[in-house]
Amino acid sequence: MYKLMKLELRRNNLNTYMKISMIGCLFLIGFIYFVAVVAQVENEPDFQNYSNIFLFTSIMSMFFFSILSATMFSRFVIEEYKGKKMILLFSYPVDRKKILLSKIAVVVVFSTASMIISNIPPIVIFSMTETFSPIVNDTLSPELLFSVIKTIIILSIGMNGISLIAMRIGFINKSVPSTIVSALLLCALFGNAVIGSFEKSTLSLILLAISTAAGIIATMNLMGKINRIEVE
Amino acid sequence: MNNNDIVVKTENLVKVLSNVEVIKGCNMTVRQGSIYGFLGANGAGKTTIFKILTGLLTPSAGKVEVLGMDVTVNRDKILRNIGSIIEVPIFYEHLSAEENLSLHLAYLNREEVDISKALEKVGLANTGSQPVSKFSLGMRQRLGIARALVHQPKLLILDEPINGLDPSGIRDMRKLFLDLVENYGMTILISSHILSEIEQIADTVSIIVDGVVKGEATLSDIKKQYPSGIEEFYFEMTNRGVKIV
Repeated sequence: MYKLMKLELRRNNLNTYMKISMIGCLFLIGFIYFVAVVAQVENEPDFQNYSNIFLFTSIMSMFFFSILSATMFSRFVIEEYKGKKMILLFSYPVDRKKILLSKIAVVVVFSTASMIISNIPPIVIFSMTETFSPIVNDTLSPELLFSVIKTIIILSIGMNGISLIAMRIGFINKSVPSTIVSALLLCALFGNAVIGSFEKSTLSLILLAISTAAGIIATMNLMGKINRIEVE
Repeated sequence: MNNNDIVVKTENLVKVLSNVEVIKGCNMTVRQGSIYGFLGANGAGKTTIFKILTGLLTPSAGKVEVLGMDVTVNRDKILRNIGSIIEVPIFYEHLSAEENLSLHLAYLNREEVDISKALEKVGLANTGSQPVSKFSLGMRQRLGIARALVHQPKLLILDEPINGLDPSGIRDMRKLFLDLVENYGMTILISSHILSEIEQIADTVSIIVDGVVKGEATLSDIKKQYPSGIEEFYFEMTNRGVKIV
């Protein structure tokens, strides 16, 4: 499996996706300050505490990385099982399911790592500037930062569930736009549900479990389909 | 005929695609060390049979054995020992010829194989780091052939391999195919529209018409019955459907 993942990396260059992740990181730095400043200017009470500012920024990062992950699935999976290109993949003496799993593993590992890493600079920079020149009239505590990290991890798992479901939907028509639009719609749904259940940790965990289970089911279903594909 | 000499055998092979029977009880036998020419009009079923032999399609009925193994059971084992071009060769366009072959060998677990020899054989030794996207149609076809033979398979399944090649390319490939059989003991199953090409290299020829193999015979037998050559045999089979085996 590890070897197949390495072969995926030899075929697909990740540099572009790394650059996009860095752009995402810069966007999140700008976004966190934007939310904090606008909340003060507009006197918006919901965003005059760190907890909601961090949550909103994390959800925005989930949006961004879900789209990135869905785009990667389009490139790594949908385009490679499209038309005559399939002949190449199916000519290898390797279990078709294993090849698909290696593709999914590369995308999941990369997008999870890049989402978590891209969230660190905005939180660190914003927290540092808030200690000597605060925009928000609230107190930063280690508990709050720990809770933010927990939220980012939960959202990154949710992000994978969303992009896996989007990939499965996009695979029906083997369409890149369908995959990305599905990811956007699912993000909107999941993001709202997370905001609604933020105060109730059990609800958040249920949401996480649902998105993970749906992602796993979508993957298993796709594995079965690819195993049965006939190259006409 | 010794059964160990048989590399490909189909018995009453049937394939149904979208409720249409495209292969209707096909029987064919390819012997080891031979060049088997597979002739037929467009849509006759040549590529469908090649896809079944390479595990890209599953047979609807009948028996298919490649290298003595059932293709529906031992797909991976068979794929390790064959090389193929099915329809148009597909590559990773941003990679060079060498990188494409190296990746192919990695999937076959045969990284130790010398890629330069295969590229030299097809006349692509000097393509360097040029990406495949810059290759001409003929170069792509040559690279497809190089990929098919790089791991020195026992059987080559080549679907219209000389498409897109210029006359000197066709001559080079003809020499290469004969060399692979004579010096490397490979067996080649080849389809082509160019009857004269098949006549120059094949020792057995079969004609497929509308999913049915109408005739399978050695070239020497064909020449005895049709002194003017393979063209007369081809049109006799396709027009009248007379069967000689």
